[in-house]
Amino acid sequence: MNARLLRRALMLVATILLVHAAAFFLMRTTRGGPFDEARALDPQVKLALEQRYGLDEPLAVQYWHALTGLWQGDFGPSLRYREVSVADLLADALPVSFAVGGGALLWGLLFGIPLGMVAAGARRRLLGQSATTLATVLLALPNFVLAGAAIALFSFALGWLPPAGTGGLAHLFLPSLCLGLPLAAQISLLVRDAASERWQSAGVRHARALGLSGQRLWWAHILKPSLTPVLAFLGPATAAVLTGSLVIERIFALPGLGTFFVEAALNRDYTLALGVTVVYTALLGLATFFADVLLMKLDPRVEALS
Amino acid sequence: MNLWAKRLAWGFLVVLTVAAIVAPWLPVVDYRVMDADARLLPPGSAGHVLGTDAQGRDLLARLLFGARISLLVGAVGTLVAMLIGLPYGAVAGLRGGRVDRFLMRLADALESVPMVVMVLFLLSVLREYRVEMEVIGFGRLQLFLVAIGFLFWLPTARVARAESLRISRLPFVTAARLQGMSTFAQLRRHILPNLWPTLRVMWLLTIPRVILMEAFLSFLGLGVEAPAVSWGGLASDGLAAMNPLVASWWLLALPSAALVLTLLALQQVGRGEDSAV
Amino acid sequence: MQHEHSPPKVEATSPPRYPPTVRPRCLLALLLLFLAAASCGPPRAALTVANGPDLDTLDPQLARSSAAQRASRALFAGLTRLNTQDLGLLPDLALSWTAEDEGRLWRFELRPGLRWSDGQALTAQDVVASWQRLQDPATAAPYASWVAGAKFAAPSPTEVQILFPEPQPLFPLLCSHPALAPVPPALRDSVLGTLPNPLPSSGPFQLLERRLRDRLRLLRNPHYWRADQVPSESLDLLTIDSDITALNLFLTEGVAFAPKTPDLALPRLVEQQDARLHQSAELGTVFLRFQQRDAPFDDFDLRRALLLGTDRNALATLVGHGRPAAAGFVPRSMPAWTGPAWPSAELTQARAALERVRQRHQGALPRIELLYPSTAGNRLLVEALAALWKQDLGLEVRLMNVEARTFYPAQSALEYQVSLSSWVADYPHALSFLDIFRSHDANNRSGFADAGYDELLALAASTLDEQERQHALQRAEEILRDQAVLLPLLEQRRQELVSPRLGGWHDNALGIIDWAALEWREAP
Repeated sequence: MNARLLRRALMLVATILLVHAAAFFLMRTTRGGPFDEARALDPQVKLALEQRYGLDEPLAVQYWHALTGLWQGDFGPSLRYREVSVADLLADALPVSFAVGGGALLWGLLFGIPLGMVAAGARRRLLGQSATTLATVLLALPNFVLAGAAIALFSFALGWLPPAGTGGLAHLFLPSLCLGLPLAAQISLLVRDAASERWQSAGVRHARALGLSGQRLWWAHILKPSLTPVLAFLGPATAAVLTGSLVIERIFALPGLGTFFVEAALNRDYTLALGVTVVYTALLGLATFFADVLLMKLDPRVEALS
Repeated sequence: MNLWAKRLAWGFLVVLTVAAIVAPWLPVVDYRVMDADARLLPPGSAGHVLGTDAQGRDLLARLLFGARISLLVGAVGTLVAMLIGLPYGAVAGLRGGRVDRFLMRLADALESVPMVVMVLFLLSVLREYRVEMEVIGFGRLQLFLVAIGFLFWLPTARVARAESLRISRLPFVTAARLQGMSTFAQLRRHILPNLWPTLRVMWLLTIPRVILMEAFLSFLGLGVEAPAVSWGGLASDGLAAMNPLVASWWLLALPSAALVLTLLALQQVGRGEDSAV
Repeated sequence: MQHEHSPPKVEATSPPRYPPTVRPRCLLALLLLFLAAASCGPPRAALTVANGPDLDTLDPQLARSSAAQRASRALFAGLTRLNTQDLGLLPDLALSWTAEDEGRLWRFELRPGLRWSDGQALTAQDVVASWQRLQDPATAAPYASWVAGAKFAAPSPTEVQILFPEPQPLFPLLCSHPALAPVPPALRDSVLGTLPNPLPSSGPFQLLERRLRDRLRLLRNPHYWRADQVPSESLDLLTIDSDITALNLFLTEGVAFAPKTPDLALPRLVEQQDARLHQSAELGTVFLRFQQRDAPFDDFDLRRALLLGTDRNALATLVGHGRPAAAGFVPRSMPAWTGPAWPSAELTQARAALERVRQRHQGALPRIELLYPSTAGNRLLVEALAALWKQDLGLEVRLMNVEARTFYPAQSALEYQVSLSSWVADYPHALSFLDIFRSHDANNRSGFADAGYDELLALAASTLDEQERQHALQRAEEILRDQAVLLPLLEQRRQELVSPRLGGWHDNALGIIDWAALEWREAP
């Protein structure tokens, strides 16, 4: 088991380095730099700026600086926010992203698992069918539509929640919910499939024949095993949260990683874009890694199968 | 009941596709024409069945032409994804051993690259001002379709690999291999034809994801070039129109409804093949 | 690239081994983490305003965006300032100023007893050192050209002298801009790209805290020369990207002011004659630039056809969002300016000109591409243009959007045919507009070069006679019109949301805010 984990850890490091290099060179090959604006800069001024940020050096040298900086955890100064380092920006953005993303995962579990259970348990009845339909509809909606509907309902019509911005728990409720509902839908479908399969399995029939019923049956024999696919989904779920956050943060005006990433890419803020890319890759890798570890501890058979 | 639902879904998709294809010849208003006197008309207004947007453009026409782009992106993007994924997975499953391990490791590595990096790629490379290949008809839209395809080939590859693995173990294929049939011939004669049903389902199930991805990219401003519209773009514009003072709900609701209905229909048709209800 | 795993197929005959309470515990831990990470907002400031997006720097000499300039005006005072009601020139840190040698030498007399917010004295030497820093190429200041080639002297702690090689009659006007404001010694001495902490300031407020992408928290500066007249003791400048978010905050009284109104809320606010919507002129024009060095727009007839054939009024109605049709290149709202009349939609002449172009190209019109930087507002505008041209002239145009950072280099390299552009004045004078079409100006970006135009502009820049200057500039704009150098579309409008509870507010064409006068009142 340790060998496998070690290999995964090494793969993660390799992936980060590869993504870092790819992003670095990709951004540099496109036209336009961070100092190209509507008002033309004096050529001397532009040169001075480029010298200050080391952008006039050969590309390979710049890459080397970026690489050594990455090793030390120093991404350099932001090219757009003149007095701020990328590390500071990331440190500011991470708590917001964690709050929203963590909340989304939480909603995903809180809504998804019960919904899946209902869909599985009442599978042939209207209740179960409705649960499945709900999940399917949620998966067919772009998340910005969901966000729009939520704002229209909870902010404009009912006035219960603020439509955007930061400032407290109330401001995080809608964004995390909108990010989490599609996850809940997917989780519910996974749980439904696993639970109904478990329900029909030999072991459960045996247990029922022995007189085991109700809560204990559900808990020990159906719910717990059904959680395996949910855990396996943690990696893709994190990926979905990272992608979806680009849209959700923009709609709700949250200063998280997604906002920074889009801005940095559009403004050619090379250092910030690289920093966010590395953080994203690391987050995704860690989530998948963590899910793998949990899965292996949960069910040694998973490891044997792979 | 399920068969009825499936038939309904098929019917809807067929009507939609036909309408999208013949849209330029249908007697609707040009979707680009702006009319200052007909701005923000709600659905049911005279001359504009589904209403108009803030520039007086007819929403029905825009939805029809949006269907063209959304369906095109969905179908062709998915096709590209399958064209990449299918051979990849089929070869991995067929050859097995080191080839399989290498290909799957590579797939794993690519899977751990966040989608955002792809978005960065799209932002950077695709939006270059001059696309030299335009002279041979390979313009921005075509490049966009290919790029979208690149985002979705992995699931197809995995399914193709699993199926290919299964098929290659079947007696008649093993026999063919023992008789010295080349990999390529095995693929062509035995694997690919048997892969067809699974792939058809895969295609139908991936199209919704591609269409949603296009909506996502449109929201970020990376969608198709103006004046062309897609449902995702229309929904995203409709979202931008939302504010507490002016309630033009149809601008968001109608494109979203179009998206949801189509995606539901696609899922119904795709799942209907293998659902064990 | 991620996808959904299919669930691993396991057949269990005995329950798994982990303790059954793991799941609820995990969820509880997650919940606590969530709550802990949820940042509680800071207590409200006396005055909170939305400051728009992208505050890129607090260094006034580097500030370019309007958000950064608003913040700079709150923190740093200049030698002069503009009256927010009529944009007239007023003394700020300087008491008085005189010109000598035909406007080459300027003398400024500073107020006695000026101090920075940390108590240190603000002297003429500070001003000189600041202007030297502005001039230094290593600073890479965008407005360095304003003091290019100048020599400075500080004969006494309260007198500043500046000597230019050429006459600079408008220099005191420029001094009201944050770029020419004196910067504190701590900032001058710090490494470029870092800010000293604390940041001393000379203006009505000083910086307490900067929360990135969230807000600037400012406190009243007790050492400001008229600090006793500043009503607000604290000020929050919020960074808000989306105008709709700002609108929503404004409507719930979260902010007293928002710099921009979302386009779709405008008609309703206008119709209701909502007093909170303040529409004022902005010294900016949206126009199309023609690339005149190469085909197809080196053809005068094609340019003229578009100039005559574009119905600017229809455009303003459809996508103006409150912006009126442009009457010329220099906006009508420019103080003390009467520009020449540009032609409005004359379709017969336009079509005739197009016909001539068609004949020159063997019966078919050349393919036209309109390049524009990607923003949602621009997309609507060019879509409307394309629709209008198709309808009125039968002209098909291909739209190409690129990111802003790719757009400007392409424009500078003249790699376009016609492009969407805009220009906003730095200071309230027509010269700030007409300047850009001088032959080798970096902002020309169109390949237009005319010796007569250059002469007129040189005259306007150097003469001390304001009448003569105005005449020269008017003749210059006539050249732009007669040669169809550009196609003016819309005049920019400032559409600000101002709460009736905000006291001390005046609208003006430059959007200058006198932070020292603003007060958040209990009742309107």
